[in-house]
Amino acid sequence: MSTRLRAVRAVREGAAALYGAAAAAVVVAPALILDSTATGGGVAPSWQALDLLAVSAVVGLGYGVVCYRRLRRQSTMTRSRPNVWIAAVHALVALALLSSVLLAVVLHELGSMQAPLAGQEWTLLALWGGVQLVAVAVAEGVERGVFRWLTSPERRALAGHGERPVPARHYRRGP
Amino acid sequence: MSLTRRQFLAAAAGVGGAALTGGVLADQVWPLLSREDLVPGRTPELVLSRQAWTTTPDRLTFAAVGDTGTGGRQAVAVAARMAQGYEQNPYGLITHLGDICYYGRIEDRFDDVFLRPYGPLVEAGVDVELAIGNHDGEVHFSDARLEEIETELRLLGTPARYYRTTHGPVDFFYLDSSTPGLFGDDASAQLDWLDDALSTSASRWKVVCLHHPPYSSGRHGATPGAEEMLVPVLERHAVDLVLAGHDHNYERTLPLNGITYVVSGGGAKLTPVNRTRITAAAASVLQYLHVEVVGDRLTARCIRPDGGLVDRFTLRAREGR
Repeated sequence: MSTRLRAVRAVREGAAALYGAAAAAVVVAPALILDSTATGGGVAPSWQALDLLAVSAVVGLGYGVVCYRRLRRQSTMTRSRPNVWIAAVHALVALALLSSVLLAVVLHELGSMQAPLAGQEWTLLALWGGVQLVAVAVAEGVERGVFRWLTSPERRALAGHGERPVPARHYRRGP
Repeated sequence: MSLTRRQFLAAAAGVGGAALTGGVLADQVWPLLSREDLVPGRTPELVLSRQAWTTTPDRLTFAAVGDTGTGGRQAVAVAARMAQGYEQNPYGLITHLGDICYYGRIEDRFDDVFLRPYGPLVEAGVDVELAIGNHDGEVHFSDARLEEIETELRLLGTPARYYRTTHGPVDFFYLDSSTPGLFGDDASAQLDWLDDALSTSASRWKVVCLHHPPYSSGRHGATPGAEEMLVPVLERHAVDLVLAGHDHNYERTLPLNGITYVVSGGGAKLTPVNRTRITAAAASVLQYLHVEVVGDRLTARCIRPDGGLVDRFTLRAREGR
């Protein structure tokens, strides 16, 4: 492999890794903000107080790794790299917005259920993790939808007039 | 590399969306998460000895806290520290400086915002006296709000919207500083009452408690109208200490014509506070005030949930008292 090709591959892998780290960061951000606010306000740091951060870290790191591996694969194999990255940017925007906004809305709306949530710690953790998983699922949906929309003319052209288009899930893997 | 029309549109939307989302998150959502206290807090499990405090005509210990009404982790952390403060130096009175309930109606949330966090202190028999708060600036005066205030008063056993109590050597004067309570059409009635009550007070110490601070360097700042309407009455009767909340921070002023003004509104949420020329101490922290009055000396300590000391000050009783 030539030096130039190695450099291009390294850039692509670096970009994919950066994207994965960004995806993990926006998922972990709400928990980090709550934790740093409480600590800055004078609440003693404790392992118990890190429960939400731990849940977010599991969801965020998991999704970050998934994003990294997918982008690394797609950016070397796909027919149209801009489609991959445009869809990825949309997904990251959706993830960043929803992972914070959904939590704020859900926690605010469940204000009347504080006692049961506080009484059984796992319900709070499940709620927190569940909301973040919903944000991840929506971000995935956005990524797939945008990618499908971007590639539909090419897929139709490939399949020929009057025939069923090539499914996006096959198309995105490239030749 | 050339982009198709679809790619260009999608890329532009993505970049615009990213910029918009970044702005919304940085300006609105993340500050909201750090300003509010939305995550439910665990119920404190301390058991305190009942009525362990000593109040004599010459001695009183009390706690002052405001803006506690979230039921969240930060509120519970402050309440837990107050319970630990009781264990170390018991007190029989909490002066609550308003905003006892956020995010809903007090009738629905009394357990969450008060009985659960303050359960150990309530079980120990500690009295709570409330100065009516406004809940939040965007809540306007209405029949529904009046009903809410009356429910708060009933649940806490508070005798009226503005009232006076005496504990040991201290006379407390609780004001309803909501609008129109102290700063609207009803102001004159309440100010006349305060004038009379202060003039008949024979105790060594006079402490006025209200929600809206006459002086503050916090986010809300000094309450408009307070300096013109309320402060002359306080100065005329040589009040010693004014306790307020509303701004979610701690601030103590230098003595202003003999009166020390304290904002103790860090009971659950946090907002920034500056220092101005009248500030003696200020910090954007969760906190409560632990006050001990012995004879002619009043010593107050502002304490964080981790037990750290934010501020400590001592007042001497006025001459002739």
